[in-house]
Formats: sequence, structure tokens, C-alpha cells
Amino acid sequence: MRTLGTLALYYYIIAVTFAIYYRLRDSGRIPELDEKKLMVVFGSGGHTTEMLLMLTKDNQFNFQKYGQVQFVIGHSDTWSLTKIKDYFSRGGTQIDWEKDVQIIKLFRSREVKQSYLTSILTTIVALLHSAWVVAKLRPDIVVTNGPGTAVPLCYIHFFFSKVLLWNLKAKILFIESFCRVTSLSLSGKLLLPIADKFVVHWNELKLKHPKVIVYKEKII
Amino acid sequence: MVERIKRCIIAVGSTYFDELIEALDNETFFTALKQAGFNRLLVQLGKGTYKPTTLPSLSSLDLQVEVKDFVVLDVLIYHADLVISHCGAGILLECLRSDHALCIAVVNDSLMGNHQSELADKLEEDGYIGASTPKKVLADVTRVLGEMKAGMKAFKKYPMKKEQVIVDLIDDLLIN
Repeated sequence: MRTLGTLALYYYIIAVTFAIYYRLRDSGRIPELDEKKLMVVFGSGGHTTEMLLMLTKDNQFNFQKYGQVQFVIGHSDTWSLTKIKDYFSRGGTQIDWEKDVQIIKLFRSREVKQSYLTSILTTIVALLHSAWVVAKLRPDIVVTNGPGTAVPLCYIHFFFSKVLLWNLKAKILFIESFCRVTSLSLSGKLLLPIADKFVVHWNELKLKHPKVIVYKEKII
Repeated sequence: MVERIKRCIIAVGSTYFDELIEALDNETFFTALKQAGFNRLLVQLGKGTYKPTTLPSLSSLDLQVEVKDFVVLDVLIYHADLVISHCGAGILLECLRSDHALCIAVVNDSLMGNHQSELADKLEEDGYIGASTPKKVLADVTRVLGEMKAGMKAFKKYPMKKEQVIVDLIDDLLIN
């Protein structure tokens, strides 16, 4: 127990030193978008459609603007991937799916109709997989509109960046689903405490949760 | 002069909604459609077990009836004049974003714990669509068809989307 405490102390002395060093080094300098990594977590079905509608203009999206664009989809969700590719090709954007965007197929904690016992095991595997993906890709922002897989991934992103101090400027943007008018989704409720910005579509939700953002204009 | 073809779509989505199909499978609905100048009716059944019989039997050159289990609806909705649908967020969005499709969303009570009537109710409250139930749908549709025939605008046009709001927010978060 004592050695663990000592280790943690050493870790934080080093981590804080680095954090201060980076803060001083970068003070007064405005970062460029092309040095930032954007991760979008797509869900299934309706979630994917909504996300595409919000991110694009005339089915187009500027991939080149960012240092790296990472699209996370469910491991078995071939529908979403087809939908995403279809959607962009309709806008006439020439995308090199090997180079312009990194596609990550995330192991899902629970497939439909899976038994309770095996779900525990697959949940652990899914958590480890999320941790590996986040540690490897180190996104500067995670954007999601609430599929179940996004919740553990966002918490891991939060843990690495804010608790282990890997990246104090890392962000989480959550956008609630268009069909949520009077109550938040389960993913929304779970991510509200750690999201840097939380966008909803309807004013009813803003009245209940003052922290959220609602735009006067339609965003979808 | 060539008259534009007027199209109506009944869509239940990926599940089933027999009560909706049953409620509209009759001559009253067919006649109302015809009187409002409709030329095509597409019925999408999903996994439903109730197969409409009256509507197909009335199908004529003036008003052709087509029944299908599944179809890709997005392009069809864009060219439709009236969509009678389940309360899925996807189809409602497509109707709102289409050129001129009026939409009547019907709440499917057999889907429990479903939040989607929440959206349909809200959109009706704001005047963008009509919300209905299988029991009321025939009366509601007939009323809307009557209003269309009289040249009245049954619902408000959904506001244009403000482009790039989320992308701007992302960029702002990234550089701050």
C-alpha cells in the first residue's frame, strides 16, 4: 500500500512538472487545428444519421482541416460504416478511406440478446479495448451523440487526460439526440458531469439542466 | 400542361404497426386521397402481419396503390406530398427536411418505453407536423386531405438549419 502511494506521488510530481512545462511553453500561442486530433464516436442507426447531418454541409466535411480525424464505430456495425461512406460519396467528396480518416471498430460491451454472464466478460474486454484505443490515438476532443459504447470511452478519455494529466486541454462534446425533448438519455445523464460542452435540441431540457447549450436556430 | 404526380406514403419503419395499416385500409381513406388529387400511394408494412386488401383492390390508373415490406424511403419522402408514418426520429427529420411533404406521425402504443412520441408531440405543438393515434388517424388524415384540397396549409414550414454550428463549436473547443 505504501509503495503504491509513493509511486503515485512520484507519478504526480513528474506529471505536474510536465503539465506546467507545457503550459509555460505554449502560453500566448494559439494552437492550429491541423495539430489537433478529432475523434467522433458514431452509434448505430439513428445516432449515425443525426451525427452526419450535424457535422456536414451538403454531405461534405473538411477532413484536411484537422491533424487527424478518427471515426469510431461498433465492431459489428457494418450498417453505419456503409451509411457513412454512402453519405460522403453523395456529397462528391473524394475521401481516401485509408489516409484521410482513421476508422476504429470498437468492441461492443453487449450485443443484443447476449446473456448476463457473458456480458460481464465482454464488458471488461470492451473497457480494455476502449482504453487501448484512447491511449493509442490520444484524441484532443471526443464528439458523440450518445450510443452506449461512447460512455466508457469518454470516461477513459477523461481519466487519462484530466486525472492522469496527460492532456489538460482535452475536451468532450456531447450532443443529445434530436428525439429527446423532455428528458436526457441514459448516456446523456452519465456524461453530463464530464462533458465540456453539452448540446441539446430543445429548450425544455435547458430549463431542467442549466449547464446545457441550446441554440435558437435548428442545428439539424 | 403536365400535372405533377402527387404521392402519399404510409411507412411503419423496421418494426410492425398493424393497427395503423388496418385503420387506413378502407374506401373512406382511398376516396379522400383521390379527391385531394393523389395519384400514387405507397404502403410500407415492415414486419407487420396484417396485409391490406381493400386498398390494393381499389387501385386504379388514377390512383395506383403499391404495397411493400421494406423500401429505402429518403428519396421517396423528398418527392412525397403526404407521409403518414410511425414516430421514428429519422423519418420525421426526413419529412421536415423534405421540400413539401406534410407529415402525420402516428404513435405506436405497442412499443413500450418508447420516447419517440415525445418528439412527435413536440413537433405537433410547434405546428410542424400532425400527431395522431391509430384510433384517430382516419379522421385526422381525412381532415388534412380536405385542407390540402382547399389549398390550405395544414402545417408550418420547418425552419432552415443553421449550417456548421457543431463544426464551429468543435473548432472553438480545440483551439481554446
